[in-house]
Amino acid sequence: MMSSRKEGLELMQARDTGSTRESAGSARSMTLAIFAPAMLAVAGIGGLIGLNATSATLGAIVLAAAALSAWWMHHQQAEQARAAAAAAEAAAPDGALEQLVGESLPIWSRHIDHSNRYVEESVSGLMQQFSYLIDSLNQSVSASSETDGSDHVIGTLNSSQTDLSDAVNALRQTQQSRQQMLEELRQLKTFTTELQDMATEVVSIADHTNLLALNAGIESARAGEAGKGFSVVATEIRGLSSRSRETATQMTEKVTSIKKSIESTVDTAEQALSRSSEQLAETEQSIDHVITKSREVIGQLQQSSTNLREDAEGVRRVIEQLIVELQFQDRVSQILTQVSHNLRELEQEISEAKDADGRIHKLGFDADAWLAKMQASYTMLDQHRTHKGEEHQAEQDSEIEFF
Amino acid sequence: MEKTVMIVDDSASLRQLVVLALKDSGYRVVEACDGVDGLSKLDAGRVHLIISDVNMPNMDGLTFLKEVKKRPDTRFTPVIMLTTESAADKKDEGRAAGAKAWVVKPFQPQQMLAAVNKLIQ
Repeated sequence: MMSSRKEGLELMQARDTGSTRESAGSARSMTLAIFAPAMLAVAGIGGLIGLNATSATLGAIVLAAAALSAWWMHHQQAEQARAAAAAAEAAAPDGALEQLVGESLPIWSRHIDHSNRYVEESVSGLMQQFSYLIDSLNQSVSASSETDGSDHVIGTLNSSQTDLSDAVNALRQTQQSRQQMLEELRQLKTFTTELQDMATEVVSIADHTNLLALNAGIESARAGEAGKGFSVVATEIRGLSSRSRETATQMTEKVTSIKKSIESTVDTAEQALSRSSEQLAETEQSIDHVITKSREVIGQLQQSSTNLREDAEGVRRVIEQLIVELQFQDRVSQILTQVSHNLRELEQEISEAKDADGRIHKLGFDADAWLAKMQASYTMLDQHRTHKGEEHQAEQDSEIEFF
Repeated sequence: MEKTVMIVDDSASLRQLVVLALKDSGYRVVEACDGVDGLSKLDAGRVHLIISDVNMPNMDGLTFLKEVKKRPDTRFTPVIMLTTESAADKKDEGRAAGAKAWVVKPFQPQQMLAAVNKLIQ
């Protein structure tokens, strides 16, 4: 600004000199005009007052010399002015600066307006895209929360675990029933042993009875006719003892057979019980394993889902902050609009200051006042700092002031 | 009932930011690009709160505010001035004209939402 003002002043001086040059020709004519009548006047006056011709001629020569000297000085000044004007002409042809300024200012103004619109459209587009991204992220997070279903899956898993535990308990009760049955079988086995002992005892009693009957038969034979009836009884007793022995023997065989069957059943039941106990333990282990693994997988899925949601939230916060930062456009727009407005005003002022010859001989306004007016039109601290050439400070987010 | 907020600002991006700050909290946001547009849209339906820029073409925010306060149907509608304007005299003019709050840009959307919630109740 200082530079351009200085150039302006130089230009004005050059023009002043130029006008001096233009008037140099008329000054020379004026000098000649003064010189010629002066000589005539001196000659005339000399004649009138009666001076001699020599004196009059001398006076005329002195006057002519003075006039010639004056003309020469004026001529020299005019020549200097002409040289300066020629230099100014070479530097700035007629009206070139006015044309340059007059045409450049609106061009700059249009460039600023165009850039301003371009930035605003771009920022607006960015804002729309960011808004769309935020909406998408919100929907994704919301949908993820709703369809995550991990809580539902965990509920189902807990319910399944309870059902499976119930099934395992039912199996365990069956096992206990089998165990009881096995115990009863073992008890039966004990009874059959006792039965065997009892049958053996019956055989022993039958043998003993047979021996007694045999002795009774011998004694009845020795008794002769009197023992005849007793002999019949002894014979019957021997028959009965024989049948008792046979029956006891059959009982022993049957009991032995039953005992074997029971033993075989007990063995089979024990084996089955053992196998089913192992299977039950394996089943329980498998169920625990599956449930534990399922919980782990669900936990991982939950964690992944939580991580995704947190990431999405993080991205959303960043985008929201970006959108907040995009408010710079509004500030830039206001500054550029102001600059464009000032350029137009300046162009208008300069246009109005041009004379009919298209050149500026005198500005129609006070530059300092104009600058003060420009400064007064600022709305932001930034603009004032920039105007004064001060360092910018980081803008703080404002607090809302309630009235 | 859904409340309606009007944002009057010549910057489309600023209007979008206000929409973004308020729409998820159940507010319907009407946009106007200057004071003239704002007055015209006030005729179209009830607005519960107005957020207005100060420096705008056609009709600036303070003139718009004064017009809003002249109208019988909007004279009690709270107005928040949202501006880059830092001059104290403008703020005083806004306060005298009946503005309820003065916010200097840049602003945080959460702050704006809190202010709207406070004033609209």
